[in-house]
Amino acid sequence: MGNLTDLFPAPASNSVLETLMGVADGRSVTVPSGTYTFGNVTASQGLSTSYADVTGSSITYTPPTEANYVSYKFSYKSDSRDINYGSSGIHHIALYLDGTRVAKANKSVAGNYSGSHSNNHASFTQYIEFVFDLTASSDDIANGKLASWTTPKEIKIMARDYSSPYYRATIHTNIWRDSTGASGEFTYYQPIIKITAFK
Amino acid sequence: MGNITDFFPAASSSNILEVIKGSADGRSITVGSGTYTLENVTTHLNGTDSYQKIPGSLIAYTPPADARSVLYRFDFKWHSIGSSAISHYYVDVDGTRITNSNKTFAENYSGNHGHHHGGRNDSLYWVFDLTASSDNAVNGEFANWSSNKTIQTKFREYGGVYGVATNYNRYYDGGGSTGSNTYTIPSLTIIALK
Repeated sequence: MGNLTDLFPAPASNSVLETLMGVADGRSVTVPSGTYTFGNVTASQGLSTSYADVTGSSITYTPPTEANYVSYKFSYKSDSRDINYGSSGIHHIALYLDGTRVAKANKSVAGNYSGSHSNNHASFTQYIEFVFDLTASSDDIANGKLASWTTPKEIKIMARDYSSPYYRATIHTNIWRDSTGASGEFTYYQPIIKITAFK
Repeated sequence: MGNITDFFPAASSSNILEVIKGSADGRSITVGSGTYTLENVTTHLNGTDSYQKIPGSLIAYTPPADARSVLYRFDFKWHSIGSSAISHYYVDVDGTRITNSNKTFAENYSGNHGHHHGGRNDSLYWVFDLTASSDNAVNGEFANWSSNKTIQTKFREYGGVYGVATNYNRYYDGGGSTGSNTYTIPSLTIIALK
């Protein structure tokens, strides 16, 4: 007969407490900390020169009690807007936790200018990612640091165009498909949220 | 007295030994193999014609003794500061370039060196093989990894008129980026697998 620990080995020291991941198609996903419902993206989203919520990016999350770090990653598709002057699609994205912008996660993304405002070809998968630090002595959300996170907090992304009418962007968009203009359900691409809680 | 499985729960079916993942703001992360402090990125870095470390990419790591693979992944943003931003990248372990980690990133040429619009997220990564019979750092293979090895991502630009900056936002809030908007902090991930 072997040792008891051969039959019942200690759990791995795996530092991942839970992973919540889903496509923004309205699904509900259950993990140890609860059940979470994702947004339902059914169309592309044009931006303006004022910040607006990015569809599909919002989730209200409470990590497991022993979490020390929470990673939030939002992956989406961006395109140069298919209008005259759309060109490079420069846009700015910002991460918010319970209404406070986490400044260090700020990003500005774009394709390069084509040399002609009528060529709106830039098309990429983009993402914004930040790992919240829950080991801080006091809350400093602007820097992504919290002393505790025991109640639901909304995480979301806001975005805006750099300018108008030049260089505008559209997100969740496929402009082309199968060698021609996209149509129907191919005109949009649903984003993905991945949250991982670590101890 | 509780059930015996309360004290000796069934082993997880996961082969993940530990995960280090953080935004590069100087934080310290404790996992089974030790405590690791990430770099603190507070500005962007312009490329030159010589290879240099991307700030936030460095970690000195010792995996758990039973690790058979180690993933290193560095997620960062680059932005053009000269035309198409042709730039070259690789993962370095203890001063040796891992040849097959080489990547070149670039945007399309605008037809005019005065346009520096391109800026994207990208990643450098390597999965180290710890089951090799002998060390071969150029291929990221090791027979024994029992003390700290320094892993980092290095980059250079192709040439001056196609310049690049890492961890950089060239524009923000509808204008040229200023203050805390000029940089975005990268993230670093290490996963040890058995």
